[in-house]
Amino acid sequence: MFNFYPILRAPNCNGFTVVHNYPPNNWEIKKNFDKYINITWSDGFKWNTKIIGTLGKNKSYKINENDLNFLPNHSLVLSSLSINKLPTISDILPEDIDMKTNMPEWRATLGLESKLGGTTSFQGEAHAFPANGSILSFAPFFQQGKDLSSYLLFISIEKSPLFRNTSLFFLDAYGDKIMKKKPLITNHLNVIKLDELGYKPSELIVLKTENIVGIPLFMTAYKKGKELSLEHTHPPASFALHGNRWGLHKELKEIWSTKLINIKKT
Amino acid sequence: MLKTLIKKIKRGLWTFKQPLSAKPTNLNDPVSDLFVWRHLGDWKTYFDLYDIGSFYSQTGAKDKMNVKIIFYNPLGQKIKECEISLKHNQNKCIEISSFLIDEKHLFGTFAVFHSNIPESFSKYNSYITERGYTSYKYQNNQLRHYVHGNSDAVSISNNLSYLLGASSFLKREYRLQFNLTSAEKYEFLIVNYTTKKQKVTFAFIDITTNNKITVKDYSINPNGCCLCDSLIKYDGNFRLVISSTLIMARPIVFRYGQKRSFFDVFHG
Repeated sequence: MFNFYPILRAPNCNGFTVVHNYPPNNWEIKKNFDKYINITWSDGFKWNTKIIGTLGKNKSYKINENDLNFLPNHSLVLSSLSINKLPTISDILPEDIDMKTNMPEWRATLGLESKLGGTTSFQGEAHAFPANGSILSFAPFFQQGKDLSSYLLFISIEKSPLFRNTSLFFLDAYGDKIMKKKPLITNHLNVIKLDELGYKPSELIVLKTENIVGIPLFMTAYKKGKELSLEHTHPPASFALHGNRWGLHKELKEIWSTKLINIKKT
Repeated sequence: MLKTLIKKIKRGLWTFKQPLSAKPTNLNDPVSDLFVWRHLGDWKTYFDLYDIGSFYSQTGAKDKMNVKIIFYNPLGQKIKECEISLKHNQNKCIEISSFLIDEKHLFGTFAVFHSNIPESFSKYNSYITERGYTSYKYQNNQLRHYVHGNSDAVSISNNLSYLLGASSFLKREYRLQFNLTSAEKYEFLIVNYTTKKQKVTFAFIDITTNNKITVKDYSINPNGCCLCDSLIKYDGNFRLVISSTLIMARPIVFRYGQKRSFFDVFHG
């Protein structure tokens, strides 16, 4: 599976991604290569790719806003490293030779920084998600207080370049109530302000979608960026170890799908 | 055919009987990561506790459930154990430092074991595991800075905890894919989730020349952890390679600004 590294975006912040051309361990990749640094984005009809440079072995490169001034506004920006040139225009998300590792994954540094001094990052990677999938996510990250503002950054990537409109449901932790329904667009980085959704500090945020899969990231800023905090949730499959954990995950998703159907009925 | 076989044998040297986590002894033994606590001085550590089992309830039962937390010092010695009562579906952000008032060590590990294990886990031959979210406040930070758990490190049976990590036959390198710079300060924490004492080597590598700048060695007891800082005489960019027989020596990285003031934490 070919890895992409999204470039993040959030209010009052600039996103950056540092790509690294060295494997994360000494045993899964035996031969490395010089690589192209690509930027891929969708215009709603086709995937577009532009090479912004090359990266030698054992080198890293920080992609920031200055590298991206050719892009249309509001695009989801996907960076990648490839041995071969990716097609400039394509009908499905382009890919190249798989240089994937498992322990750990070949990652990039995905971060946000503000002009007020705050900076935060995590080590991550992303792939295209199935168009007919759904997500369920339990998030304790919501920090409330004076001068704090929190956002959900929901990254959707699909093989098809189309922009589909769909919804994200914010549920209470019992699954008794929809706190808010928010629009999502596929192949976008969707930014949703969390402060106005009505959750109390002791309440978990439960996220549920019906026909979109994505990566939910939670970002909190103090005084518009003096400090920044960022983390992603684990998928609920990580509540289980060994056995048929995906079967268990499916059962959990069915429980919460039923809860959502029941709320909609009332 | 022969080429594929050789490839499989070579990979087998790194994978055969070397799982990230062994299976716990009993199907109802809960599992936890070994999370890292820091306290005293500039530090406060928090953990977001919620009853995972209640998510699997269709009816949303509202009884209280207990969660057991076991604390270890950096030497891997158990220092404290406590039980916390949780309402179903409630999020309780607990301050870890409040359980460690008499503790003189500045950092260590802790494990979180759930008692509410839904029947569906045994139906799927799975074990409930806590890989949740620790957060830290440093100096006068207003925000808690989060890092997620990553390992299925330890389980518990009849009130006795036991480690699940295996050791590698061969020495492995964990090459942190992060650009380190002398303009910032870093601390790297590694946890030993195996039953054997582990030797861990941190090598700082010059990005331009690929030469080693300096090497630091540590020894970590089971359940314990080590903290390696980036204080080296070097001006420029560098990267970190961690060598050990841990299957994945994935560090928690604490990052501080020197020229401008910021703090961040993330999993390597």
